[in-house]
Amino acid sequence: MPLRNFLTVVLPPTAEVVEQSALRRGDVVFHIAKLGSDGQLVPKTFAHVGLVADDIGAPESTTSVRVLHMGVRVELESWSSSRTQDDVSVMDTSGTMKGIDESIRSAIIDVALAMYQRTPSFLAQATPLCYYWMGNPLTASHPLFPSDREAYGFSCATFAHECYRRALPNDIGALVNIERMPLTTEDDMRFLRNRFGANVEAAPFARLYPGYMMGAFDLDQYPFEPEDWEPWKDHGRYIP
Amino acid sequence: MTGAAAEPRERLWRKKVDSIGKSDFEHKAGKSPFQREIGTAINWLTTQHKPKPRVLAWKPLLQFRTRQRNVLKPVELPNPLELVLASAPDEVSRFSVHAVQWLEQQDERHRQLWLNRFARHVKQLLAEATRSRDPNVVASIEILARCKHDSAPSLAETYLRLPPSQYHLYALPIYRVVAQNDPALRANCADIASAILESRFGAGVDGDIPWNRQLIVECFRTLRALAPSMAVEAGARHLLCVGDVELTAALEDVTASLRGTTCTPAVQEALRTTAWTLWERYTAGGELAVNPHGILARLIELLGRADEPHDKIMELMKQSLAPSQVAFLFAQRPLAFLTSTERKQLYSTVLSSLIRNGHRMAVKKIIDTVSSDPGVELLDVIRNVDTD
Repeated sequence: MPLRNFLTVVLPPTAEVVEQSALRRGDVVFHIAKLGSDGQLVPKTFAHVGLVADDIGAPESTTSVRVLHMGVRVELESWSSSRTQDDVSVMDTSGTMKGIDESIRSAIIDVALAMYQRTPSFLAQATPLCYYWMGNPLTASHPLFPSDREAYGFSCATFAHECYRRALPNDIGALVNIERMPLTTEDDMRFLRNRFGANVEAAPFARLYPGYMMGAFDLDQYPFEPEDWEPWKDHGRYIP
Repeated sequence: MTGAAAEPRERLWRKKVDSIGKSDFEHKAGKSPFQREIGTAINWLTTQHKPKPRVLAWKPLLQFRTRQRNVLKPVELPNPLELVLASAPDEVSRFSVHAVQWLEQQDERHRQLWLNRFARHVKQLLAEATRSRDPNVVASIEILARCKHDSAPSLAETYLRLPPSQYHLYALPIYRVVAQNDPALRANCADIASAILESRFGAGVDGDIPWNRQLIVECFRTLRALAPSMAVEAGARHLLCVGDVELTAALEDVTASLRGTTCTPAVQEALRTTAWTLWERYTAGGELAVNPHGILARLIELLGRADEPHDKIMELMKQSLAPSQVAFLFAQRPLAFLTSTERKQLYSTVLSSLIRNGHRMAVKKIIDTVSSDPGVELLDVIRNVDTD
């Protein structure tokens, strides 16, 4: 099962479910839901995406796993399988690519770790997202740090996507066909600028929604390229 | 003249009289016209030739003249800059960003003026060496660097020569960026990075503190950018002590430095010894590491560039923890140090191993890699693939 949804609880879990839920290094994990005021799960405004760094079995109620993700910069942090603290990312769903082999998994993590823990900065910390870049992925520069030759600019989704792009063979290319994605509208741009300030592309750009990546795993279609992109933007579709 | 119009004039006159003092008034009001005229002339002379007060605006304490003559008050920096210097550590970032935005709104002349004053404050704070203010000092240096102020390199250097703290992690990249285009500064910065790196492995240093581990990566990154030969030497001495998570990035810096520099036989020998020790560590217990295959692939490149014979390198790939994965990652690294015949042999070996292990996607990736290598023919490689 390429997309595993840990929010849909199967009780009691069968051996097959446990086997299919195992997390492997290089898998993509998504944090898509939060608890609403009525205690029900509601979609997060911005879903978060990361790459699993270790092989672990099926996540149980107390499991935590090391995840490489793009926050302020590329970081390695523990994500939990349970929603115990507000400030800890939770694995709500995870995606594994059908046919992916151990060598490609190693290459994905290798690409991510070579970028791990880049230059910290006081100015960047408060922006609040440092090298975070809501726009086209930047592999060797950042508009807010023009003199830093070591800079890069990713959102959490474009970072995970870039690691896959570099590791996958040319005939697959990437998880999502980013060249065919629709451009952001003026409303989108206003909304993003309100949230991310200066760390947003100046002109409309093809935004990679985590929902597209989940869609790729869900349909097992690489690179993902639906007829209509609109319904896939909403990651809430995976919340029961 | 109406009364309403006369009143302001009267007030003006009163003010003028008040400003020149009571004695002047007496000269004007209580004497004969001649005396008054003489008195006015004397007054005029004394007011025009009063010694001017000293301008103290550029003294270290940044005092300036207020409207009241001869009264000196310490200059208050404009609020955004003052807040950077005075705020609590967890507020420094927020105020720093605000200060930069404020500076960007000023015209060039005023921005320069405030930056000059700000730099003097920072220098003074730095001279006091009150380590509790380190976040304020480093954030201020970052602001000065961001605004390309001349003082940024010297302030960064002064700070970095203090005993290392977690804020060196922030200050070192600042100095690296500002030093990049100046040969003298580059050498200085590389020396400092090397000294910091040395100090991180001394007695009494807790190597497990996160900022300490990250600072090591930052030192390697700085040496790679400014003095690749020093990065190689540092790698030979210290790679063994770098933490598992940071080792990929540190090894990447050392191998990249090795590509663009030649090192002495002694350094090569030391590098080989270090690489072999790490090799044994990761082949023996690498399963628990976060990126064992990537680390082993980099070690093979490092050994190859340190003149380890090609046969031995080919042998290493077969011995490693997961031969096909290590070989796969190694084959995608820059391999200009191998001849085209050696590369052809390497690609064939890697493809054979991947096919045997059923890594179909990786096979396609290697074929992409071979196709982009101008010195190797894909057909030659495929002919030598052994799948038995």
